[in-house]
Amino acid sequence: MKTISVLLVEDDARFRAAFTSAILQARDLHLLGAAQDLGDGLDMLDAYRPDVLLVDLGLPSGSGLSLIRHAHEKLADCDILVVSVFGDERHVLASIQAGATGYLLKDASPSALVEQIRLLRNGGSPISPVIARQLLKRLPAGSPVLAEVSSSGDAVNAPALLGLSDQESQVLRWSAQGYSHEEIAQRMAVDTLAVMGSIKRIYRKLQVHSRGDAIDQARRLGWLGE
Amino acid sequence: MATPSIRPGAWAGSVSEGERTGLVSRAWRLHPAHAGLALLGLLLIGMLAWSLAAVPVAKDVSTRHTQAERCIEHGGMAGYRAAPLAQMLSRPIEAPAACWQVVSLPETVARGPSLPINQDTPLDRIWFRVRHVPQAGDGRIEPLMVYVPRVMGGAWQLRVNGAVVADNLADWRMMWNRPIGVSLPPALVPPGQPIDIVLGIVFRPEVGYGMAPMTVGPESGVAPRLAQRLLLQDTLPQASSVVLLLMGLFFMGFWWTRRQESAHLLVALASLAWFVCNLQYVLVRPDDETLNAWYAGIVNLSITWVIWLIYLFALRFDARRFVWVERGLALFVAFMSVVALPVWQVAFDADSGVLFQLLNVSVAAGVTVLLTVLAVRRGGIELRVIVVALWLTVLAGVHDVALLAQRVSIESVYLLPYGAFLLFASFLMALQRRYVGAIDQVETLNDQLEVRLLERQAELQANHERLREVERGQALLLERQRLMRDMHDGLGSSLMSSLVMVEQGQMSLGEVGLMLRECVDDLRLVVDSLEPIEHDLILLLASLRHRLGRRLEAAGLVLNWQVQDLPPLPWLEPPDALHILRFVQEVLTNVLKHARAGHVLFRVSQEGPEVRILIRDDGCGMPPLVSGPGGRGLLNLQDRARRLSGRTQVSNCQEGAGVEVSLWLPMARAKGAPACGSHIDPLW
Repeated sequence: MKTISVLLVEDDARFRAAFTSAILQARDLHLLGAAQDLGDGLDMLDAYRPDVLLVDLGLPSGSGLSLIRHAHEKLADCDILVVSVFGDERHVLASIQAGATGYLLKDASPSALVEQIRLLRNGGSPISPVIARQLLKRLPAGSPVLAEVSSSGDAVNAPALLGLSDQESQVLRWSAQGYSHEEIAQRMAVDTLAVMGSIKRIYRKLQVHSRGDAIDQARRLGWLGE
Repeated sequence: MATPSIRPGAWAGSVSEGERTGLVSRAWRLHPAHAGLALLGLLLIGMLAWSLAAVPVAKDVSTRHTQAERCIEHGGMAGYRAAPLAQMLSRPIEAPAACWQVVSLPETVARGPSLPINQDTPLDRIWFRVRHVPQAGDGRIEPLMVYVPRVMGGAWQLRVNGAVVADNLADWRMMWNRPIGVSLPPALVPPGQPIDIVLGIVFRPEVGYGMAPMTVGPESGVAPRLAQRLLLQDTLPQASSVVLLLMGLFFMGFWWTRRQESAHLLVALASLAWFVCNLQYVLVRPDDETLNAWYAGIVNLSITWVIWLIYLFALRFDARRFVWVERGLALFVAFMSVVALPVWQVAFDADSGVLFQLLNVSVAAGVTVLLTVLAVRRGGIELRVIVVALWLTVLAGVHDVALLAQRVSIESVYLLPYGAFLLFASFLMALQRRYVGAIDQVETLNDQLEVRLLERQAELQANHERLREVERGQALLLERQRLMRDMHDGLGSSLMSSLVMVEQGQMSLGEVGLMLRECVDDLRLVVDSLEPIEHDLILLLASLRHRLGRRLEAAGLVLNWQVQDLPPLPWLEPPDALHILRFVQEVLTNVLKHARAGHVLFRVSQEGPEVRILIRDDGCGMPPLVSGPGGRGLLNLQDRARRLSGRTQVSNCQEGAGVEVSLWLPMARAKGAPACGSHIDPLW
């Protein structure tokens, strides 16, 4: 089995120790290094080119977002796993837009961490109801999924068009209602990884879309030639 | 005598001393009105100077005859009317050579007032003869013209070499202000020969006559002088009449809309009176003796009225009121009215006319002196300008009376119409200043009001902000109290009991970890309840499930999750969210602790106006201790349901059939209804 190389950027020593030990105990994971801060993280990222970047959002010298953006642009193959404290889901959404495809709460058990890394590497992403709801709001009106949501008075005319497939929309909708990945898989008669894969695809589309936004804006501002 | 008394606010423009000084200090700026007035004054002076100066005309070869032979024939017909005058003028000249005497022109003979006017007194006839020697070429290329600025007396007739050329029988009563200008027919003027020009005047011996110098020459030289004289004596007075009439009507309209401001009425009436006075320059007097008497009376009297009204107006520009002056003026006007109008058959002749006008001028001068004193002492710029204009007008009046009495050159022009221009210009300026002052005041007031309004708005805004601050503080306090109570009851008590147990060594490491995890879970409940979920109950429950799902699984519990989207619940705020979360967690904790269940059904559904949250396990039911009337867990649930304006029902099924807990929540809460007091099913 191919090992998964991991780079950890975390300023809290205790969490760093906990994460390190969890990764070290997993045979299929290989810890490349553990940085304490943004600068080190950037250097190590460029030097080691890890498979998975494990990054804390709140770093002393700046937001982990810039690190995520950097990794997303420079390392196409790198999976980015954001570690956040609870009550922080808006930031999680921002980091997903910046390029992260996985997130983990700090109070997750060591086994959950390793599980997430593997899942991510296997092409799956987790989603929480709050994030699903946020994404649903960005769906264009008129899609079959949204029509139902609209009738419940819950949807907003989202200007952005994510271009999700029906399956992906359905995954979002059920996730927002609190159904687990397994339950969704069961309802759709697919396996769990397929559901999580579609979540990852949703994230990717969101990132592409965000980038498109950025380019559009840059063009409007005249930073780019036509 | 002037009896000063503080006058009540007579009209809007009357200002206090303070404001007055304000006006005075501002007055030294060049005001358009001052400039206009000064310009008008200069214009008038210039015109007079131009009229009095002998304007030399290019190539003027006309002759101004200041010497003439004259002969008076006494004992003519009686009756100062058109018919006898015409008859007397048509008679041939029968004067013997001895009658002709050389006199210098102008010649005026005014009789004293001793002779009474009598319609039966025979009229006299006077002839002025001038021998004019034409210059070389004179009269060949263009006709000769005779021009006399003014004659006084009555009807006149012009003869050249014995032939009658012109007379003024059509408008003979206007002779006092109509210059003579006659072009001579070329046939009567043999080239190069001297001609005899004779001007005859029929006059009343008791009144006298007057004759200005005669100018004879080619039309091109003489006509301009005539035109100039006509302009000054006729056209401009007519223009002033029109202006006065319009002003009178304008101010009348003004007064009509704001009748409390009688100053406008005064200006209006003064303008109209002056218009009547000016009629004498325009209208030919009627030949009928009675009509003529009325006409003369009214025209003469109009000046008195003008004086009365303009002084009443001017007096208003002082802060005080001069009651006695006003009363005296009223008496004067009443007296003059009685004297002037022919109602009382008071004899009225030329000399009494002069006397009449002298009285007018004297009264005007007297009041002007008073006004001058006021203006110099404490007057505003308006009063000062008015006083200057008044003096100029009084001087014009004196001049005109002197001209009437033949005390100044008969060639002079009546100036009173020009005084009207000047005086009313000063009135207009004064009023304009009042208006501008009033408008300024209004604008200042508006500005102040606006500032005050803005201040008040800012105050209101500040009050509002403060109120909101207080409200926010109140909300914050409530929130803090809630959190504290919550921490104390939940997290705090858990930690305290665990601490005691750890200190007593009664807890294993695993138990401590479990306990701490419970604490973290509890903390997360509180944090979750504070998350903005936009009144989305499903999202709230879904988040809870998302977090607890793994643990329930780990505990061997299979959760059957059955939810669907719901409309937002408008009342769902953080405190309610926490109650719901705790409610659900307490139920699930009970299931985990006591039920020994394998499956839990979690269903959220809309039932009419309510939402029902149903949690059913397939465990062994509740132990009697928990389900008894004092069961704390049940009381807790009921309490939370009540706080949520909802209700709960706990069905303890038969042994082995598990427990079913339902929580009904309203879709909408009545506005302002406190979350309390819903009925509780007393099943436990």
